[in-house]
Amino acid sequence: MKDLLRMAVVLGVICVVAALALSQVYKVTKEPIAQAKEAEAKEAAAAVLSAVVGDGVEMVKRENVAGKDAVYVAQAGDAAKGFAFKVDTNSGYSGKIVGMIGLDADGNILGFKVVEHAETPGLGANIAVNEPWQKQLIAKDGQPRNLDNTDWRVKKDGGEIDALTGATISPRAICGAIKAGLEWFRDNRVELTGNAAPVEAVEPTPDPDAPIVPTPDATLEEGGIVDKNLPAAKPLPTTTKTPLPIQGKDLTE
Amino acid sequence: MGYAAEFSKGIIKENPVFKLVLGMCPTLAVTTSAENGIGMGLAAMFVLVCSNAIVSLIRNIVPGKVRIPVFIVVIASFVTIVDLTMNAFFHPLHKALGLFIPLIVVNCIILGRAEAFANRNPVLASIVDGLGMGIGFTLALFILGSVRELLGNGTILGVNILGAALSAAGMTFSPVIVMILPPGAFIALGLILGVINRMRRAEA
Repeated sequence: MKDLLRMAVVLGVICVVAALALSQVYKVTKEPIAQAKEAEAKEAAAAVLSAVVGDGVEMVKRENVAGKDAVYVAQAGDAAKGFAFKVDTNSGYSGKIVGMIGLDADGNILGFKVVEHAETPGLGANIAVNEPWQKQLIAKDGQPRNLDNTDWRVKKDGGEIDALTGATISPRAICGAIKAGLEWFRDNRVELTGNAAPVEAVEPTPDPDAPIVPTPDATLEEGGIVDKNLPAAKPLPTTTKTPLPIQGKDLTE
Repeated sequence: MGYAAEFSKGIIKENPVFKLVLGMCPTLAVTTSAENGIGMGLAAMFVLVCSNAIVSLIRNIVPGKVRIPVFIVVIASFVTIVDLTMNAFFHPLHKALGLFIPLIVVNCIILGRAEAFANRNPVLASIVDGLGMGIGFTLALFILGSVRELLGNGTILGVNILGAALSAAGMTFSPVIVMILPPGAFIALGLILGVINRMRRAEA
């Protein structure tokens, strides 16, 4: 009986001490961890927007935008040159994958970076280190990818993104995350960019070829023209080119 | 046994992986490259030294019957403290090793040394034992990781060795991908253990 009591007391005391120590460590490290994460997010945002960041461009953090905790905006005067925000997915091989995606005001991808993941080192983890693979996520034939010009699935599933050696699940998860991010941007573009994108204006022009040609680079260069060109140029591809079957197929996977 | 012997026994004579065959979960899982092996080894060594020290300190207070739960509480707390502290103050290091830290909890080398050594020896000897075992573990993981990385990717620590050598000889290198995949861990470990046992027998 005395033994039993002693055992219970010793084990209890050690557990209490351990709990106290842990709570203290948690309290002390909470703030620095949050700061480090914040700094890391900022750095990642700057990295994925490096194409538009430069003189006269300021990184502005907007909080709580349409369900996202934070959106980093590369602001040049009044014009928003780029947007960076986090996308995440639970369909990786192990745990959550968080990425930072950078888009220009038209929804073209400027950069993508894996911020957090727990994929298998040497296989799935290559999503975060394999540069050639990461590059094909951003551009295709020298053109930036976006929601309309890319079938966001791995080749094995009939899409156009290469998988990695020995790892298909992680790239598949990344494709899904990027696609979700692009769709989120499309759905909330008005709120983000501040310019109206009249959806009605789209319907009268059914010609799919005309709008795609002028969009890519010329309009991006000059901040001033963007406002006028965007509403006409951007929504067109979205409605004319987005093949509905893609969305349907993706849901089944 | 002197401190020097306590230290060196963990590296060769009682190497935790090659001789004691302990801690197989992290050993097989993370050694897809030499770098991962070193990372896991160092993180485990740190926790091993700290937990050995604490277990040795409280060894006379803890009744024998509850020692295992006590060790587990100590080790789990330590791993969490290391995880949080590293995340807060050594963030880049945590990014590199972060994957491996939670795995240390299930590494039975730590519990094994707490039970077999720290529970019966004074603090300083326990720390030395933890250091030696940690280095032995790191070395074993590095060797295993190197073999797998070399065959599966042609590199060691990211330096292209096999590919360059073969192309110099006019051949092309095609990686043996199975060596990076889970079965490769068993194949490589089995072969290494075989070689080491053979060498031991020759010595004796």
